[in-house]
Amino acid sequence: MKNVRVFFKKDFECRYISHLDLVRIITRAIQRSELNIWHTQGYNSRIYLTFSLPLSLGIRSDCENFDIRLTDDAFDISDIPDMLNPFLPHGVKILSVSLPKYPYSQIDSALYQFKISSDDISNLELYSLLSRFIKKPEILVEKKTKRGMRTIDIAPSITEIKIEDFNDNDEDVVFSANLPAGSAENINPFLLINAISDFCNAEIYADITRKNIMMQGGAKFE
Amino acid sequence: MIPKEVEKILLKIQKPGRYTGGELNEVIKDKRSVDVRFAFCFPDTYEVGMSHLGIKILYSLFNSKPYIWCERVFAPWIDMQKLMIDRNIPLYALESGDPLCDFDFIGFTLQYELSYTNILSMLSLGGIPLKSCDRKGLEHIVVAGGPCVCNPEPLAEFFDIFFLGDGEKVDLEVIELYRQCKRENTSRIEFLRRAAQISGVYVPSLYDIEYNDDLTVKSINAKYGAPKKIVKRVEINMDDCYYPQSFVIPNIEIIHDRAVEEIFRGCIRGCRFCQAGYIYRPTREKSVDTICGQCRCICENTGYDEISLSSLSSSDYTQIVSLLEKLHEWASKENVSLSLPSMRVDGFSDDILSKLKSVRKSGLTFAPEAGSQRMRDVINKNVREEELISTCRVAFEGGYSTVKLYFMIGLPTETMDDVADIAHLAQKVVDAYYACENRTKGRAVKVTVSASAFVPKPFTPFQWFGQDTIECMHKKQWHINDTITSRKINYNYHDADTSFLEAVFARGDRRLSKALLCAFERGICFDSWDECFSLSKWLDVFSACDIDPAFYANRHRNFDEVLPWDHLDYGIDKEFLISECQKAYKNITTQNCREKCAGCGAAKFKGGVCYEKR
Repeated sequence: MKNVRVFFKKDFECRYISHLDLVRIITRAIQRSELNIWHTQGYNSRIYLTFSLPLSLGIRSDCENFDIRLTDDAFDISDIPDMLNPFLPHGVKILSVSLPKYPYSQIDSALYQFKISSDDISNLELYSLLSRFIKKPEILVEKKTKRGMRTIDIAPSITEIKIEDFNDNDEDVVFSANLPAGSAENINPFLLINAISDFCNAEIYADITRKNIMMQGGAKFE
Repeated sequence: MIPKEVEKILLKIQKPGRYTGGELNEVIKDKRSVDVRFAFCFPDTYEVGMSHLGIKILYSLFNSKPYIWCERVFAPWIDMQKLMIDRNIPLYALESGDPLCDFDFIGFTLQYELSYTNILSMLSLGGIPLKSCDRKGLEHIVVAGGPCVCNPEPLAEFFDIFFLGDGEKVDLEVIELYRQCKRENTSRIEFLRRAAQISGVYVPSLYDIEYNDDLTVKSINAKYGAPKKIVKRVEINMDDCYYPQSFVIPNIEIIHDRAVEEIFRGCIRGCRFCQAGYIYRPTREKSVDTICGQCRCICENTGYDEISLSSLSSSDYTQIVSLLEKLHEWASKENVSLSLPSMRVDGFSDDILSKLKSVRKSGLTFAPEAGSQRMRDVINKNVREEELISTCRVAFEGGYSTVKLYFMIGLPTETMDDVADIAHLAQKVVDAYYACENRTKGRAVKVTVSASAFVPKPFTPFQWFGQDTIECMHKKQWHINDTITSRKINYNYHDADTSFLEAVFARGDRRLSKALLCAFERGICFDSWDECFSLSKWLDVFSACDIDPAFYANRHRNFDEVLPWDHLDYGIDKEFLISECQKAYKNITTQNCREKCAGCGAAKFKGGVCYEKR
């Protein structure tokens, strides 16, 4: 038996698939492929499949991953993408496969890219407001927790917020930010968008892509 | 493809996966390379529509032709609908993201009467003029098929063409005629008149209806050479009939998320309340080899690990045991589980049971339909109480402990005693469980009783019967509740209000289109959903339109009355239905098609059970 980490892209229509539905789609693809997968030994046996960091509905990603367990130690894992891709919708695409290097507990943050626009203000205005926004020492947002709504300051948690050069008013405003991720602390990128929306007093449309998952110290999670 | 404006709203609504397309096996074509664009519309949500077999068959069939691109359209749920209206976003097809008004054909499937208002809201959202007479030019041909087409009169003003019976051939013939008319640049009217000459095609605008002073129909008159009677189409050889090799695999969970294999069409039983049992005659089977081949092919191409064998009354398949043996051999090897969703109480045997439960064990559902033997004779549900009890015993010994029983109330000649017998029958099932020596120990039995309100339907022996009033239905529902004493029996009943509305439209005529239009304008839709349905809103609509709904639902009709669907011919003679109705009132049963031909008239289609050796 060996565990294998599979990296995939979630894009296009498939970014509107919930995590639960995604699990079902991937399970079905694994069952159709001829991969020999270890099944859990419980009363309702199912294939062993775990995800490191579920993605919120509506967000694209270049760096999603899940772990599976193969029964055959000698199996050439580089065949896996070609075995699974024909059975996945075109919005979910297996990119690469490797042996897991780090446990999920090492995950610390995720890098997101945001492309934003608004029907209420011009992109140029949005750009200049955003430039002011990122200098704010305190960003208060409402976060839903188990104990109800709480107001938290996310400013200290956001690192490496960076706006890309803006030259053309027809283009969306693009910026990236690193947000805490994982089991210890997690910030949903839409919280940041809500804060920007409040700051600009305008409805913001955001096209968000998760670009990278990182560990403490900034090394890439593999 | 999701239109850009739609992307902006997808995160504001529930289940955005309904509106995106992009599933495995969806068909994408270059729109410039096809002659005909067909929007296949299902007037309910994605999850309901995607579970429907007809759409899977026709979607595949149309797209197998290089000159047609068929796409799917579903009714947006109210949250999405509201945002689309607010933001002026037209209803679009999932594959291309193009609005409905870009399509040559807009085709609906009419599965149940309570979806009619959704049709109007979908047309309107798609930018299509609602009334057939307001649509000009050779585009936006609005068509429909499906069981409710056997009385499409309440929708007649909104549709250009209805297809009667099996759609596999007639749809393609009409599309072919459309291509030809487009090449010849003929008018819309010319196209419709020529289409009416194709067998199985009903063009409602070519028929005038006259009414009597008492508001009943006086006559139905064909014009411009349209046939007096439109005969339904039948695929007589099911082994040659088109069947898809794969289905679109939804990205989100739908109601029936599994592979489906149709094993036969029609039903030999002739239960007198059941429309499907008459309009799909004669019973036609696929061969065992065809079914096994198709099952294998679909499971390979979809990856489903569950296959449902679809038909009416599946245990009537002549070779059911050898079919299940053969399928079981393959299915257990491939880890595929088999299910038979439609089983008769008397068709249930140990043999069948052992093939079904091999992978997963779920509850069992039976439909005795009525509580007393007299009532079951009236409706010709030829099932005896002993059969039900002995079947349940087989199931209990096989390890089952949950049984669902379906009943109807409001049947012709029904008394309060008949209704109370529903509760008594359920109690006997409970008793049978505890009398059973080999039952699973330590588990309580659960018997669920569902009672729905009977809706008289066209082309059945009860088509003349006036439905019980809502008050009467309520009384009967409560009477069952009062008669049940055991806590092992779980009782639920179907809302009588929706059944009343269903009865109005099931046997309605063209004058009801006014009410549909008015209801649509008042924002009424999704009537089949409890959270949307409101009878009081509908009663307001009827009174605003000066229509008495009881005239359609509750009035007993005479045998000599002209019925609004008398010009449609489903192969069942009216004299036969009259004699069945008279037998019902005398508690006399009719044997099934395999025991003895009852002479219904369906033999004129020259095949199926009518020509089997007996």
